[in-house]
Amino acid sequence: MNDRFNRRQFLKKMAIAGVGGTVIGGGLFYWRNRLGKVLPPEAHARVTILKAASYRANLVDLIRRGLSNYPAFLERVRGSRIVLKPNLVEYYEARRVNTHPAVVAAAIAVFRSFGAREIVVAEGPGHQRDTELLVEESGLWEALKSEQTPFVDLNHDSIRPVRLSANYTQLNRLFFPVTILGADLIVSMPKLKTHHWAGVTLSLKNMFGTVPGVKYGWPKNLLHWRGIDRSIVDINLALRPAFAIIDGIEGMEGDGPLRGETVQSGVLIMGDNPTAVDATGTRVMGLNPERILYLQVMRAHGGVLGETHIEQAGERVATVRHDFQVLPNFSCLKLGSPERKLLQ
Amino acid sequence: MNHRIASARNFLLGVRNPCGAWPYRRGQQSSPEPTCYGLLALASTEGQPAPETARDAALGWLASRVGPQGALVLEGDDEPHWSTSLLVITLTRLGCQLELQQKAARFLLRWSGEETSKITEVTLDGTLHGWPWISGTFSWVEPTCYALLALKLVGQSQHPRVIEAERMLVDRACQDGGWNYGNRVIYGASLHGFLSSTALAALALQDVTAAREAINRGLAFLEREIKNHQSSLTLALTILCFHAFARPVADLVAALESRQESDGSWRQQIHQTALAVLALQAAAGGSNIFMLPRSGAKAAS
Repeated sequence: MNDRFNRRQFLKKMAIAGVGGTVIGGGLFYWRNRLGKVLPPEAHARVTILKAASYRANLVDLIRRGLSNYPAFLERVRGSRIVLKPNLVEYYEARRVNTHPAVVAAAIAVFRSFGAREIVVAEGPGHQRDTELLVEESGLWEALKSEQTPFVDLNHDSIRPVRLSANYTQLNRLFFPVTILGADLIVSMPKLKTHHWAGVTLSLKNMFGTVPGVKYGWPKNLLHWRGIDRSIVDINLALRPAFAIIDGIEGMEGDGPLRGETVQSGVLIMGDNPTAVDATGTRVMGLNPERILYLQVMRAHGGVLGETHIEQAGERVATVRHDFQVLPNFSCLKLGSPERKLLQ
Repeated sequence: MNHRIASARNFLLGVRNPCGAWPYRRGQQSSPEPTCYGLLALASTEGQPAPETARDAALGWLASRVGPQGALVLEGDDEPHWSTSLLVITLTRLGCQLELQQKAARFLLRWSGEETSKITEVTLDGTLHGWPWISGTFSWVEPTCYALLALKLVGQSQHPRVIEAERMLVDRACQDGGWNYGNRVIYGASLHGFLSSTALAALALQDVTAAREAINRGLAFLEREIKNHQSSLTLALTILCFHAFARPVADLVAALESRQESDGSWRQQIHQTALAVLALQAAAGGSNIFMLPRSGAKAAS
């Protein structure tokens, strides 16, 4: 099976779903060619895990404690324009699909207290054209009103093209909203979820929401055609989110990101290396980040993935680990699984 | 003209960019969708049509965004944009620049979504083509609805592309009767309909007798769900849809009016404000931009 054939199938399978697709095994040839045979040595990163039993916990205090572990990042916060990017996909009363508004509100208060000049909450939902409906029904509108913080619909913002330096998608450039391009610091705030195409959806995948619907549509199907993994890497290398805070107080297992079951996972996970944060979030779900291709590729671009390269602050993974159910085709992701497949 | 419409009209006139086109929000770059709806909204305001200079400037901007293929392109871009369908609707409704309208319509007939026949994860007939959001991708509900409405308005109701796309829309209807972005089942799990997509799909199929059952299920979905899920866009599109099907809209009109802000807008969103004006005008007896001529009803597709 040659690479060209793999790629074609891969793109088609992902594209139709509108939410992406997966192929197990194969296709490494393409990535090895792109990355070169020799990977740079892996750096080190610090990831903080904090327990939070519910959304009624003192989230401001928790996030402040977590951020205090990153003095260099906090130096950058002072006087900066910060865009908080939660995960807002669709709203179902019974399902925990979106980043909880209480976490977003707490983050606003904390970043403000650390001297941020301006804070904007921004998202470009991938399926639902009616952002107003989603923002209101999810409770985010009320939370932002209380915090006197504006919301920007990234699907309908002004847009500018950005050249893709790594260009894994072969798109050469992607358009992004000026709100995102004008941010001094982007903070990705995903939900802790499994994903029925990508395996897991955390801070790196959350950046799909920065791609403007006005150009790419609802869903942002071109990215699926070009490959979810490749798109995730290109977007994150273009935008370089500075920090990630995962809302894992309630997570979603099984048929995520929309139709899975709620898990009371009780954690906030944060850090200034989004790949390391996602790797830790994946381990907290009882899944193996080393089996996820886009995380592997991000390692070649400064992302930290290896467990021994991640300094754990706060709780240890083992004390908060909660094994999430996954769809059968993702059994290779389970920690301890004998399957040696790479999910891409 | 009532004070709500007058206030919205003033808002729209006040948020145009210097080039005469509209952005999605004040001060942003000009964009085709709000410009098309803005033009239509101003033209719809009874007794006070758009000032000629405003109309000419906006039309001139739209014309300047049409590439050699006949498709609209965004500023800084060179790829066909889905709003080309809205351009056709706008020029048809305004009765102007008919050469440009025909050129854009011809482009729509050449433009198509990719085939999806080998996909097993989702349950749909991938051999049916509609229209994509962007070239080289699959057909999705909303751009297909706009293209169908545009082509039907220019007399292409019987074109094979139109008939195939009608079948595609019927195939994409969700189990709950609504339509969403375009997937009804993934991995065997039924997905929910969205109100705005459902209103557009029913409008796009309004003249298709063979789609009556799907339309009725869609209208029932809207009637059931609109009570609990309201926004400016959803209300405006549902009013336009119910108006086209002669269903009562008084409650929806009241709900939409209650969301208008003191500056005349609906959440400062320009395309939503323009759509709200168009919905309120239709409900008050004005024309409905998405309503097709009654004589065009099709027996089968």
